[in-house]
Amino acid sequence: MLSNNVSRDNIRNFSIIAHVDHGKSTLADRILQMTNSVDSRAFRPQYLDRLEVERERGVTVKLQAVRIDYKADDGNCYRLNLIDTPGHVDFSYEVSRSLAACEGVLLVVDAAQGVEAQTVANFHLAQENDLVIVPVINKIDLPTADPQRVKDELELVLGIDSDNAVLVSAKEGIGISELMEAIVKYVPPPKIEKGLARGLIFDSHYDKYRGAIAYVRMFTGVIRAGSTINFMAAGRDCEVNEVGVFAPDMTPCEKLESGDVGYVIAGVKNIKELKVGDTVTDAANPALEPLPGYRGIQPMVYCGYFSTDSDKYEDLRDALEKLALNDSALVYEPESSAVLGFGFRCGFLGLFHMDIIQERLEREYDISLVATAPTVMYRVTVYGEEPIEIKNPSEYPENVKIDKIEEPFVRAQILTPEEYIGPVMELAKDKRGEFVSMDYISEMRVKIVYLIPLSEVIFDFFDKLKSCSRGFASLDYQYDSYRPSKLCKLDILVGEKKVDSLSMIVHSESAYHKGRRIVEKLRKLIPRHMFQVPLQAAVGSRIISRETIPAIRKNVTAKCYGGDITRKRKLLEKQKEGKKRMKSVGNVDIPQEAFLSILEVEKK
Amino acid sequence: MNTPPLSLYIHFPFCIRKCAYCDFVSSPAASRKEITAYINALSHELRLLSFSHEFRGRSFSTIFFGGGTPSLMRNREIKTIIDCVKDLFGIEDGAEVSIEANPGSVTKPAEWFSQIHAAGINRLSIGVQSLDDRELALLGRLHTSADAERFVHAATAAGFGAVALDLIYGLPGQTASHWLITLDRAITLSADHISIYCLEIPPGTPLRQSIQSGEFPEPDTELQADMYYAALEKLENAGYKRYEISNFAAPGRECRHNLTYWTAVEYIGAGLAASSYVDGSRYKNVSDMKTYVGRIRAGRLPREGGERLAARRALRELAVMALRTTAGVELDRFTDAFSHREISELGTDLAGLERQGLVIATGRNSYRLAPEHTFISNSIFSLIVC
Repeated sequence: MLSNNVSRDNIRNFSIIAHVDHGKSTLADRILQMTNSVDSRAFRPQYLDRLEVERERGVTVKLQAVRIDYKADDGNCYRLNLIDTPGHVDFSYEVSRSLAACEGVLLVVDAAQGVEAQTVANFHLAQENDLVIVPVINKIDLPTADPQRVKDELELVLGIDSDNAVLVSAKEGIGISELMEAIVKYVPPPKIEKGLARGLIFDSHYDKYRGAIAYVRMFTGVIRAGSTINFMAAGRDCEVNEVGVFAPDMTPCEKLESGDVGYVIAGVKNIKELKVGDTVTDAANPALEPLPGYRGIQPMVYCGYFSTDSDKYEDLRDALEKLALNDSALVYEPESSAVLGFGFRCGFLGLFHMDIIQERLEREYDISLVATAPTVMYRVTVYGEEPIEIKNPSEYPENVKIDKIEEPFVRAQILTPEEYIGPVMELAKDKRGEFVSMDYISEMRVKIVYLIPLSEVIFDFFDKLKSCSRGFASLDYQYDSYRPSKLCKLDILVGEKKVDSLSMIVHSESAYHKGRRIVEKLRKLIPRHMFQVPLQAAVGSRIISRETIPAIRKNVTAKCYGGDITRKRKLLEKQKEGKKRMKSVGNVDIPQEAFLSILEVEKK
Repeated sequence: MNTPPLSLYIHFPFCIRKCAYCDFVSSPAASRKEITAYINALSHELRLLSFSHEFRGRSFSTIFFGGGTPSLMRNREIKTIIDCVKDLFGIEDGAEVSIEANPGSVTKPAEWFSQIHAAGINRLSIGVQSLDDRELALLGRLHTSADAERFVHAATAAGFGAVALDLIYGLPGQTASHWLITLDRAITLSADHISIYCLEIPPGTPLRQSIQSGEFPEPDTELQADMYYAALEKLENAGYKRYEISNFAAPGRECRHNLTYWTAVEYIGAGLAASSYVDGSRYKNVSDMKTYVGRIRAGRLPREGGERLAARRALRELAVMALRTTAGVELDRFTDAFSHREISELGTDLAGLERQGLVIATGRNSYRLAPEHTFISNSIFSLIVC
C-alpha cells in the first residue's frame, strides 16, 4: 500500500488545531477511515488516542503522527502526514511542537460555539510559524450550527479570509472529501532541500523493548537504516537500527528523506540522552548548524510525589524517568520530607497535566502516591541578596527579612457572550486579576484580557468561569511576568510540630480562611489518639487557627467469648496495620488522605 | 507426675430466642430431639478428646458450661456430661464447675438449682444484663428485672455460694444514672462476682438494624467510657475488686475459669464452635451443626484449622492477655517457653510504654495496665502485638 517513491511535491505535512471539544479527534478518525488508513476491523473511535487515560477522558494528551496515502481528484497520489495535537490548555506546548513539523494547519472551529479563546491562541501559534491556515467549520449538522456567524468571527477576530473555509461534520462524515482536496490544494509541499541531513526531533516515546524512539521531521537530506547518526545538541553518535513512518502504527521503511515525518530507533537506552528539539544529522557527513529547536518549556505548577510504600522510591524514579521521555514538560528532582520521606518534586504544565501524570503512575506503573499541595514557583528576595526561586514551600526563607516576594502572573484571554461580562469580571477581580482590556469581537461577544496570578488560575478558575457564564466563556492564558504580591507562608502544626509537607504559600488576605479550612479538614481526617492532638495553622509565629482532636476514650474488647483469643488478636493486628499505613509526625499518625485534603481546600 | 492445670469449656448452642445483640453461635433448637442428639455428640467428642495422648492422665481444675443458654439443659443432661468428664478425665478436688443460667429459661428454678448442685455444679453465672425492664426489652431478653431478682434469690437459697452476675451497659439511649441504678440493685443481690460488659452491636444483628433504621441512637462512646469508670468506683466501694477489664469479684472469688484465658492455662473447648488452647496451639471447632455431628459420628475431632503462632507473636499475644488482668504480666514467667531475646525485646517495648504512662511497672520485669487507660486498652495492646 505504501509506495516510497512519492514525489516530494506530493507530500503534505499538516496538523489539526482547535479549541478543546471542537472535534479534532473525531475529524482525524474520519480522515483515517475515509482514506482507508486504518483497517476497518481495527478501527475504534479516537483512534489516535493511545493512552488509556486519553480514551477515558476523551481528550488527547500526547500528539500523534500518522502517514496517510491519498489519491486526489487530480489523479495524483499524495502522502499526507497528519499530526494530531492535544486540546487542553495545559498542553499548548505540544501544539507548538507539532507545528514545527508542518507546512499547514487545519484550524477547526465548532459551527455552534464559534471562535473560542484557544482558537485565537492556536491561530497565533500557526501564524508565528508561517504556516498556511485552512479554516474548517465542524459540526455543521448541529441544529444550533451557524456557519455564517463563525465565518464572520474568523474574519473579524483573526483576519482570516473565510471564503475558503471548509464546512464539515466529522461526526456525520460530511465534507471530508472536500477537506482532503483543500489540504492538497492549500497546504504547500515541504521545501525540498537536498543538503546535509537535518531532522528535528519533535517528540519521542519509550518502548520497553526497543528503547527510546525519536519522532523526526526531516528538513534536509536523508537518514537511512544502518547508518550512523549524530544527535547534535547531545553530541552523541548512534547507529540507526530502524527508520519508519506512522501509517498509523509504526511501519519500518528504508529511509527518511527531507519532508518526511517518521521515527528513528537508534538504540538509545538512556532516555535522557534523547532531547526533544535536538537535531539529528548523518555522523559521516554532519550538518554544520542544527535546526532552530524549541524554547525550553517551563513548568507552571509543582508538587511533591511520594510513594505510599517507601520501598517503592526506586520504582517511582524509574516511572518518572520513563514518563518524562514522552513528556518533555514533566520535570522532577529528588525531594525529602521529614514526614513523607524520600520523593520527588515534580513540575507540570497545569493541574490537568499533574492529574494525568499521577493517574499514569498509579495505573501504568502501579505506584500508589501521596501528592502534596500544588504550588507555583515564587521568587523571593531577601534584603541585600539575589532573588531565589521557590517551588517548594518548605524552602521559604524564615527568620530573615524578606525584601520582596513575587509570583508568576499569566495573561488570560477570556471570550464571552456580552451578557456574562459582569460575572466574569467579578470572578477575575476575586482572583486578584488586573484588568488589561476589553474588545468586542462581534456584536454579542467580547474578548477580555486580565493579568491574573497563576496560583489563582490553576485551581478552580476555569470551572468557576464556566459556571458563571453557563459554559459559554472560554479561556486561554500564557505566562506573562513575575510581579510583586502580598504573600506569606502558611504552616500547619500537628501536635505542636510543623508538618513540612502541609505548608503552603498563600496570599496574605486568604491565609486566615485557608488556615481555618485546612485545620477543620484535618480534624475530620486524623483519627483520635490516646492523647489530645492540637491542630494549628500559623503564619510565622502567629497562630491564626486552632482545633483540637480530643483523646480517644473507648477502644476496648469487653469480652472474649468462650476463649476465642484469635478473634481478639486479629482485631489488634488490624489496628496495628492501619497505623502502619499512616505517616507519623512526633507520635501523631496522619492518614495519607490528609495530605491530599489541601488540594480540596484550594479548590473549595 | 506434675502436669499443668487444664480447663474445659462446654458450649451449648441453643437458646429460646436469640437476643437482639447476639452474633454468637447459638440458635433456637428445632426440637428436644435435636438437643438430645447434640448432648450425645458432645459426650462422643469428650470421648474422642480423652483418646488424645496430650490429655492422658490429666484432670480438670475448672469446667464452664457456656452458651447459648445452657440453663435450657435438663438436670439429667448436665449430670450425664459431668459424669462423662469424671470417667474420661477426672475432675480435681475443689474444681470450679460453672454454668451460665438465664432468668426465664428454667421452669422450676428452685428444683433445678438443687438438682444441678447435686450433679456437681458449684458456681452460677447469671445473665441478668439489666435491671430495667425497658432496657431488657430493647436487648430482646425474655425476662423482667423482677424475674432476674427472684432467680438470683432462688440460686442462693439452693445453696450456691458462688453466684456471678453479668451486666451490660452502654445501651442505645441509656443514661449514666439508669446504668448506676441497675448497678446499685445488682449490688444489693449480694453476688460474689459481677461482670460488666460494654454492649457490642455486631453487624447483622437486629439491634444493629434498628440503629441503622434510626429507631435507636448509636450508643455514645464517651458516655460508655464515663459509665465504665463510674461503675468501677461504685463496685470497688461495694467491696468488689476489679481483676480483669470487665470482671469484679469479692476477694478470693475471682472466676478461675475466666482467668485461664488470660494466664495461658491450657483449655479444651468441647461443642459447636468452641475454642481450645493446647500445647501452644489454638483450635476452633466447626460452627455448622451438621458438620459437627457428622465429624464426631465419623470418629474425628470436629476441629477446623488450628493456629500455632511463631514464638515472637505467641509471646506478645500472651502478654496482651495477661495485661487484661490487674495482676498484669510477669516476663520472668515466660523464660521456660521463650528465648531470652524475644523476652527482652518485649521488655524494651513495655518499658517504652511505661515511660509514656500507659503501663505501670509493678516489679522487676512486671507490668500492669495504667488503670486510667483500661478503656482504651486496645490502643495500647496494638502497640505490642506483631
